[in-house]
Amino acid sequence: MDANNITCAICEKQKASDGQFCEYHNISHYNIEQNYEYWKEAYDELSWEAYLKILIDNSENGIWVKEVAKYLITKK
Amino acid sequence: MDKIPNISGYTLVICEKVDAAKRIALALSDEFKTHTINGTQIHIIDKSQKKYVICSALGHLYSLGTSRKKRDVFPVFDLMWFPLSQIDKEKKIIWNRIQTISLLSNHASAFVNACDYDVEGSTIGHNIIKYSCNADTSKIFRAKFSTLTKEELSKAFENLKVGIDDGLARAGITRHIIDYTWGINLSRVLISALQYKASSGGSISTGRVQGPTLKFIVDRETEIRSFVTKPYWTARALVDSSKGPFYAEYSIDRITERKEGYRIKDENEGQEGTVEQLKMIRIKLSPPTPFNTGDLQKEAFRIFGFSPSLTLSIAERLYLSALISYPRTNSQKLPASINYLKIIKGLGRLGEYKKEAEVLLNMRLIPREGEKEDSAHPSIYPTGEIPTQGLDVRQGKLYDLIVRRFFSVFGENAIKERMQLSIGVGNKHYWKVNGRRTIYPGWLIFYEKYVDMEEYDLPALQEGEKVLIKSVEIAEKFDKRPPRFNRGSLLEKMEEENLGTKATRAEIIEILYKREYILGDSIVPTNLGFQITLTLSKYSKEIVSVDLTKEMESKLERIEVGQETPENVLEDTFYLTLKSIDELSNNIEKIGEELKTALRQTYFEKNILGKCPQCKEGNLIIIRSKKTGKRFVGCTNYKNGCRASSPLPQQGIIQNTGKACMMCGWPIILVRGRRIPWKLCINMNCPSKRRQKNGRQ
Repeated sequence: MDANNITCAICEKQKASDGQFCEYHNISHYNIEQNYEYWKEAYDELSWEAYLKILIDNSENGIWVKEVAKYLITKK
Repeated sequence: MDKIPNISGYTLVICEKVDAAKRIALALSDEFKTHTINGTQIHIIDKSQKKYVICSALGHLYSLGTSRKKRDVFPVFDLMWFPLSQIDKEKKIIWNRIQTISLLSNHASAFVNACDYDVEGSTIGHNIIKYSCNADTSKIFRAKFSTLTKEELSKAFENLKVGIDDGLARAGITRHIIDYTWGINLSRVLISALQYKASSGGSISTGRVQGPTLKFIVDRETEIRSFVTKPYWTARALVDSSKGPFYAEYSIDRITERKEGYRIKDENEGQEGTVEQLKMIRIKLSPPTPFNTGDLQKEAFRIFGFSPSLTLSIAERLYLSALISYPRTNSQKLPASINYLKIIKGLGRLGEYKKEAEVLLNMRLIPREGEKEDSAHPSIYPTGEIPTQGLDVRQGKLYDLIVRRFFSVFGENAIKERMQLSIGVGNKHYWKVNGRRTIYPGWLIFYEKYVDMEEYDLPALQEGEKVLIKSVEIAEKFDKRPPRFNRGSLLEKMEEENLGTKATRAEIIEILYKREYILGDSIVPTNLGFQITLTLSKYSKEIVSVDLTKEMESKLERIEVGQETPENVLEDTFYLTLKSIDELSNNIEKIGEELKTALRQTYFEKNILGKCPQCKEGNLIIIRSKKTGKRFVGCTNYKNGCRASSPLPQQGIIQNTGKACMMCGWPIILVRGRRIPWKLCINMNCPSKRRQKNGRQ
């Protein structure tokens, strides 16, 4: 079996039953998507890429959020 | 062995600690003799009407154990109480103590359990009298006291309770059996799972309270690591007035859109405003409730930074010196029977409390009490006795906190005033200025050292007066992520959720550190901590269930007051243990794989100090030499030829600082030992060290 199919796209942990990440990175991915609308309204206009970059740079965001944001940017 | 004094027909008094035994002897008679038998100090009172032999245990002398010693054998239900010396071979002193008590019991005509009056103390005394003395139950008595003052101890011995098997002891024994059964069985399943995948089971365990407590930490860390902040803006104006300039905040604390923030700036800057309203709200601050164990631990952590276990150990010393009442209590009650007046008068003899005592002695003494109760003890209070020996700095701090809290509960309500000045700009925008001041200090006069008394005055403006909004500053802010637990806040959480007891909570936190499930003062779970929680939640949810543990705690409390039987509770426990063993055993291979990976990651997490500055490929890792047993640092790229290595300090705990030396690029470590922690570059050839050496020459 291909190891990439069973491990998280970011870390060595086992992939959760849904999505491409482990349980923890999955939660972060969900939070990133959930908060985008709020950020868009707060800044009037904010592209998805710019949002991800902000998430990486802002020190308040969690480490897993940053890892998922980096992954999503690279993947694109 | 030393000779046993030639008396008989005495009452054998079993205390929990050496200091308590001496205080009890002093309370029972001014004339007693002290002997040492087989290393055990005993006090003898030999008068025609009073014959006592008083000795002390060393905490628990007996512990639960099993004859099934192999660490991978389960289920284990054949539990027995063994002398602690048989379970822990290093505790030979325990065996001597058991032998001495056993010999003393041969000539005793009655037995008094005078261990601390709580679940643990009752269990300690119960087991000693049952297994070391083999006493007839009709000859067994219980002494109940909350302080070690002469007066209270004398009363306790005049009113002894008959019998050995009270609710406290029953609850204590049941708790030990539940915790042992749960802990040994589930830990053995985890060890077996690891052995399935690795050569050794490692040091891995879980427990009835340990599992849910670790889950709190893991859940909080998950929240922190997956936290997405939200932006918001605040507006602050510099206002010019006839009374001088001051700052005012915008009436909306959290502006959620940037453009709205800048609109507020545009529409206010340079505009005239009017003082529209001066609002004043008086707030009544009730005195605090008396300290129970948890409240004292939280307050000592907040004020002095003492860990909960340190606070408890200092409080124990103060109790054994008869300066405070028994510190392991849930109660927030202060009954009049403790004699407030006498205590306050006693404290007034100490110069530093003279003024406060005088104030209280002119008041009606009615304490403010909390809702929590404890059938065994009141809240923690000072006894009013004068310290005969000097207290060390930490004891002095904690004692002062307990005394001032005790004074405060008798104080009157404090009254504070919050003031708000409102400035309107064009009927559309409002700015506010907040102030606060103390109108009547009440109980705060006793506790001012430990509360924030800062006051903010308002500019003395009148309603209708005109002001100028000179400038407006818009600040972009972000929501803060939740804070990590520290020992104090974790203890608070455990208490809120009714996990563990006042006596065991601090110890469980220390076990989590010892097992390397958590790290740091600001608590972070290790990979192993994460994995244990994830694995247990995945395969047997009940092990980490807070609700289940809370339910068990409440059943144990009901045993204490005779509303539940140990048999019912143990039956439930055995059923649940078997169920969890089954659930875990069915997935043993997967669990082994997951834990093995986590153990490896935790090993690296703990021992990797940073990138190797020589080969730039490997990592510098702490290694212990098989030959010499000494630790040193080497490169993980050794097999490919990198020979970077350096000696390390052999004493103390090494922590990675995550920083590199500015002179050579090698990692800087922090060494925590008996001395003050110190930082050093681990490269023995670092130019900074050569410079130091040359300097010394």
